Amino acid sequence: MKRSRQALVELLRARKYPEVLVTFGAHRKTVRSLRSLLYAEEALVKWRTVSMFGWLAAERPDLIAQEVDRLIWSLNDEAGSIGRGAPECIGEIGRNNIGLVQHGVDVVIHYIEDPETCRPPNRNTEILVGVLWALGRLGGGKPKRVQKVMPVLLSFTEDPDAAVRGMAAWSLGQIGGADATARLQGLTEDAGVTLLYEDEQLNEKTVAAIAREALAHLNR
Amino acid sequence: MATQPSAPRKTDIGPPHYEQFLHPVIKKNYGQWKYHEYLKPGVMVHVAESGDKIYSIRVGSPRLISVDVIRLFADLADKYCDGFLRFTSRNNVEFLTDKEKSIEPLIKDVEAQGYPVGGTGNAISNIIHTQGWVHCHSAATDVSGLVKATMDELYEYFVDMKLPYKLKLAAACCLNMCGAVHCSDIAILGIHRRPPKIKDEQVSRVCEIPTTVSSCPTAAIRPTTVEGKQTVKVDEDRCMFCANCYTVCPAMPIADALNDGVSLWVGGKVSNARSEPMFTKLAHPFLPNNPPRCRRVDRADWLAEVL
Amino acid sequence: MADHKLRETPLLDDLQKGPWPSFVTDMKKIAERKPMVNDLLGQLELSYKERVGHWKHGGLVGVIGYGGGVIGRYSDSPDKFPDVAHFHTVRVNQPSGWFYTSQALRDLCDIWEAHGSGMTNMHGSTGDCVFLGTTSEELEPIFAKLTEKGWDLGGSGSDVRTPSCCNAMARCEYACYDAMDVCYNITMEYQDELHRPAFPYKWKFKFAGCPNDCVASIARSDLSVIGTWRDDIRIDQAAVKAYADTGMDIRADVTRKCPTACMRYDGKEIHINNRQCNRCMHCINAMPKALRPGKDTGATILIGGKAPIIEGALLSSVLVPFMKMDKDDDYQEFKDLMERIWEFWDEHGVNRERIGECIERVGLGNFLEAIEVDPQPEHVKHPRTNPYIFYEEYFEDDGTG
Repeated sequence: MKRSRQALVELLRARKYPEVLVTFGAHRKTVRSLRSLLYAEEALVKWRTVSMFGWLAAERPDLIAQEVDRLIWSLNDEAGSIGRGAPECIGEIGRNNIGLVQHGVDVVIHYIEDPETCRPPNRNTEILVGVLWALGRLGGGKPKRVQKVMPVLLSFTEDPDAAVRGMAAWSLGQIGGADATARLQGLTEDAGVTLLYEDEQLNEKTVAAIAREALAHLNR
Repeated sequence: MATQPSAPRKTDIGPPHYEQFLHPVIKKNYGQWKYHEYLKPGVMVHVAESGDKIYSIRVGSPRLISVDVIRLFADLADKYCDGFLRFTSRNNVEFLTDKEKSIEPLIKDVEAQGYPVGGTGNAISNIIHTQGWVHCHSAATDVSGLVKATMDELYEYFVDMKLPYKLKLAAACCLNMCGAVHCSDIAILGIHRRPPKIKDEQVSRVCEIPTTVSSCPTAAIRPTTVEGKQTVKVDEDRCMFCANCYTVCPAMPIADALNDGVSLWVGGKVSNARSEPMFTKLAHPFLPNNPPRCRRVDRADWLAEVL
Repeated sequence: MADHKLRETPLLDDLQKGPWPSFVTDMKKIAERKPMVNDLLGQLELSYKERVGHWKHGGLVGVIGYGGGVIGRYSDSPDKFPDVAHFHTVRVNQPSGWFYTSQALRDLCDIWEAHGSGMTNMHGSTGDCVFLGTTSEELEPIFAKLTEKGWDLGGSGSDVRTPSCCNAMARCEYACYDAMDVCYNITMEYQDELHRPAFPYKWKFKFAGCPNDCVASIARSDLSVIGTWRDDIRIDQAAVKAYADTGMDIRADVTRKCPTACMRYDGKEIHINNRQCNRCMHCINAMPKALRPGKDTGATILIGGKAPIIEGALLSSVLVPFMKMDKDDDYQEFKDLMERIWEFWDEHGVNRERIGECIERVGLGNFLEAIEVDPQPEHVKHPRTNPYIFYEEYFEDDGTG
């Protein structure tokens, strides 16, 4: 098991998504192994696993028909487990195949409205950042989807944590709109540093850089 | 916020191998046991094919115990048992020794510390129970208190072996029934009696509506819209207050101080001896919560009569 | 030493009286040095007064790399009880059979005292040692110290939960297979499935050495492994006589209580028609020095046990009447079966559906076919009583019939 897990990790590092099914088989056991990698300690592996789920959503939705329900459940604290990677997966699956996430997507979208889970002192910042990324992926495809939560999303650009500000900025850059543009202009001097997963690469960036790139993207 | 660990972390190592915790007599005679006997309440001897003997002294424990109590057990194990002990599947502690002469001094010391020796053979072996108000967020009652109150009343049946046979008791603070309430000889089950109070403005934000609808065993939940918001409604005639919807949807709390309480169940069994395992049957549908000891209805008398 | 005011708890104080050891006495003592326990007592007292709990839904917590093992818990009254604002649970995978040494227990106590409330459950219902009450910041330090001493977290969530077992061959003459070794082996084999939830819902293994099932496996676990034998019960007739000489009424208490009436006592010896014996353990329990399980031992595998929510409580039901639990083979036959079952459940199980409910929904026949297990008489409790039968074979009236 450990050997094959390592081989799976290598394929994801190399972004060889079709090869994952060819090597490990197009069946549920492979999908479970991928779910397990959402908890990988190495951030890049987790994010590539997210991209793999997006690939599955587009190419083999039959393999992940049940997945979204389970990912949503893992965000419920009654589940007894922590839904690391779940919001990102739902965002990526939704971006590639919106039909797969119809039932669950509102839970992710409205997640940021709950102060218990999204504001200090009890929040899980990693999950919140994942949700913000998912909003960018979902809203980037269809901005209307996330309009209801725009005011709250905008407020996260003022969060004390740079990772939250940075991801909120990136997300706004995907979604667009006059309010987004205006808020991004206010972030172009923010020197806070964070990790951003974009175009399947994980890079350290300042919030300022993210904001500037987002504005450039919106103005193209 | 740290998402990257700083040094290679050990993970997936699993529990320590049990072999390092086995008394040498147990290790030597592993799989070679011949018979066992009860020497007196709480004291067993297991005899191996080789003739070796291991004595087990069983001591009652509240399950909810501090590190002080665990350290006390550890100290007693060091003093009388070369440091070997175990816990049982019903939350008691057993001291393990191959020296018969250690038994009486151990018992004296344990009892002086306030812990009863017993729970073996035709006795009550403790009450398996859940977290209750100490820690559980779906609790309809407190269970540690109930267990303490009940075991105080039934104490004589723990420290002696005078029942017709073994008696397994369980208590659970809600219908999730962590433990084996559904199959115990006698069980206490925390229950709700009023439907959930739905917070409409929260439902669509924090709950996945299809999962919430399908979480209801009696199909009492339907999606609906209230003031433009997607939410759910509960058919109160169909609701039997199990609280499963609250588990999946935090916007449907169900705890009700006035109406929550406990029910009593009788007649289950977990083992296959003589007959198949059986579910417990409802004996008394509702007793109000009356902490700390539920004295108002004198239920302990009822239990004593049953025995 | 205490720099915090100790909570007044008049209702709880009543539980200090009485002969059974009092958790209140214990908690009040540790509260003198542990503000978390002091506030826990305060909140519990409020619950006793108001008759309602004070815990709420809150954010998700865990340790890096794992999806479970930690249950988040938050007080709904942190202004009143700030020291239980966070009160998370850490599950520590117990050693098989709950055997410990004093040193092992002290190691756990020292870690917990330094990083948490100091309150525990020995043990939780699934089997884990439960560390009850700590804050989010302490989770990584606790985990680091646990693994340093050779301990690991248990399962939680939609995963394989921590397996547990009876003390089987360690101390019990009834043990028909090495349940403690199987439990440890399975726990180690499926560490990934235990720590990273990926299933429709929870999965519980419990291993019992004999049909007495002292871990209530059939009542509580999705997958029950119950030790059994397929040859004859061993009888020591001299020991039978010894029991008779002590005054035991062998007919009334043993042979006449046999559920299949396969036993006879002629005043001198016990005779058992083993072909009729259903291996329930009653006679063996009654006369452990005289009667023992057979020597051709193995286990019965049963599936589907669970508590009521949602479709009702289920007892595990026979899936494989007899399987040799072969240590030399690393229990490969058992593992292969588990993986076929999981493949099926993972594919067909809806969210929060236990395997027992899944089988009831899709039908036992379809399930057996999917996992490549042939239907057997042992799968059937009694033949159908419902005459609405889907006959598939019939005669054609084509002149040849």
